[in-house]
Amino acid sequence: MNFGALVIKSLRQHWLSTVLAMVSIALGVALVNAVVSLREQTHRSFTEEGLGVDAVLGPKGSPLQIILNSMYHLEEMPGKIKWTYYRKVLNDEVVANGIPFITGHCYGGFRVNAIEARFFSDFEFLPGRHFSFDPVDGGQGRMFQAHDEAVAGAEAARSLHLQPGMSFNPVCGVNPGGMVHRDRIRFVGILAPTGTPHDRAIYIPLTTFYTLSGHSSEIQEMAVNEERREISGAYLKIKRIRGGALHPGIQDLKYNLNQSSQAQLIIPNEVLPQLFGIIGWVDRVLLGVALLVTLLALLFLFVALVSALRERRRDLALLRCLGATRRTVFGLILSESLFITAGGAITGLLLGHGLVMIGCELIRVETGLRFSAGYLSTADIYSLPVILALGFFAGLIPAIQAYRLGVLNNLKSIS
Amino acid sequence: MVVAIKNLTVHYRTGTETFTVLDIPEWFVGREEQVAISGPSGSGKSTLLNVIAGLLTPAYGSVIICGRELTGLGEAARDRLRAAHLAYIFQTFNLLQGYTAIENVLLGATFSQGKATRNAALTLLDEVGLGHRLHHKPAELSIGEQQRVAIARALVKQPRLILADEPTGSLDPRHADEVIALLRRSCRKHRCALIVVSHEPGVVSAFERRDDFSRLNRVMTRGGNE
Repeated sequence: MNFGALVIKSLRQHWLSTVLAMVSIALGVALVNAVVSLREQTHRSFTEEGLGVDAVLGPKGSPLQIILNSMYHLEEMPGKIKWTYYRKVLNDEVVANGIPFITGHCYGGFRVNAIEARFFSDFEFLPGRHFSFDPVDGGQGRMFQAHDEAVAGAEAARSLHLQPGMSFNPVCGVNPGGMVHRDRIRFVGILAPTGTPHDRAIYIPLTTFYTLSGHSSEIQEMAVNEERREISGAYLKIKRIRGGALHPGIQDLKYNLNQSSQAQLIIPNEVLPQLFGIIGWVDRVLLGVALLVTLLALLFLFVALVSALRERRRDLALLRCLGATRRTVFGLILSESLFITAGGAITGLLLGHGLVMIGCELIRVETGLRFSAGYLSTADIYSLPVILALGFFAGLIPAIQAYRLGVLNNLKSIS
Repeated sequence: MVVAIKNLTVHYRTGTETFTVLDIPEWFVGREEQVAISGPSGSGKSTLLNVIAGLLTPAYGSVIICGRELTGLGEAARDRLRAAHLAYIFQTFNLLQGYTAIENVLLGATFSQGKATRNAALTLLDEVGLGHRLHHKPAELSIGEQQRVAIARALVKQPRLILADEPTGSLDPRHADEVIALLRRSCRKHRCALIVVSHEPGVVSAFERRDDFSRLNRVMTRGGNE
């Protein structure tokens, strides 16, 4: 019987406390792992990728609200901007391209945005990546051409079981319950999945929005009269300088636009970190709770080891009598602690990725953002060594107690 | 010599008071020799075994076990010496309750340098008549069977000396005779010395060499602890 067999045998003898300690550590690690992974992926998705948009031209109002509406299909747009103003901005020397859009309609719980067809060919949903209708990529059909045609994002299509050829009636407003337009609009294409919020939207031609039945004559007129036309905003592509950096003139443009009373220029990468400033406390609390659970689990391990030691004084004294040195029994207790923490941490990491997998699916359904359960977070890298170090300390005091155990006293007490 | 003791003095401390419990001028046990030590309870017989096993440190004197001076060794070295050459059999057997008979026997060799195989453990359990009870835990064995497992555990690492402290104290006379006979037979077969401490005349009378601890320990001849 070797040292490893002794450790395993001892753990099996106290299987209930071993399993409970391991499970509680696993739960703590899983929570930490899931919170950190989702937090990092969310942060990266909202701040680093920028969803391929350099800037958004929008109405006056909360910049964060405009970004959430235009890029994440959340919230409502606080107002409209003039088409002529958009055209003027488009002609600025730092603006490379622009795609106007109108939000404010929905269907089956998904936003219906009116947009120019160039969106499907020119827009980069992630830096350098364009939409695809290619069946190889998971798309179907084509982009819209006629005014009564529509394109659905992958998630919207999957969720509503949409196929090219099917038709729908847009609903006024971003929430169900609004006025249903009588116009039947036919789906002609399904976008290949992008892993972005654009998967959760339905797109109709920009001019179709104005001519929807039920809209006032003022709005109807906007379809033909560009002077009166209004849009919700526009995605802007800014010219680049050497090294791929944004043209520095964007700050002047932003300053000038923000001085006006008609519109504002919003740079997503400047605004989205504010979102984390607002909701950051939530994940800090979650992380705190998860860390607390882990520490409680380690405390439980410590208590379990100390109480097990009380029961095992005779056994350990006997091992000493059979020739085990003080260091051997010290190592035995410490190894048990490390075995439990390592087992708990590894199980916790696997469980954490399972939780992330579930979280990813929920986030995908709610926001269209695709996160990966296989994402390697900071918690993945540091969990095992940190938990092992804590397990070492949790086992240290019981191990020292075992080291100091008197052989004769503990054998005598029984015999 | 397996055991050579000269001018041994062992003290016990209780608070500020110190008692002398052992004072042995000379005592020897030869290779493969079998000795029974008799004497009344509290005469220090078990203390002597604990000193020989390296579990107690004497105040003065020389204790040479298997050619090594015990008093000059550190605790870890005494542990290693015990693991390599000595085996202990207790009155209450001290088997590990969570371990089966075969596992308890294998445990006897876990800390010794030599490699005791499972086959050796199986053979020993067979020798003590427990070949059919290998996977039974102590609670499932009779008192006599538990003591047989303890004997097999003592023999598995092929020690040079077995110390048995009242090995029949928990057994009825018939089983006591059987266990002593088995112990002596096994020690002869495996060529190891045996020191048995007992206050039972029936056990002591089975040995050719019988040492009266009342005469051996000068503390007793002087009339008790000092």
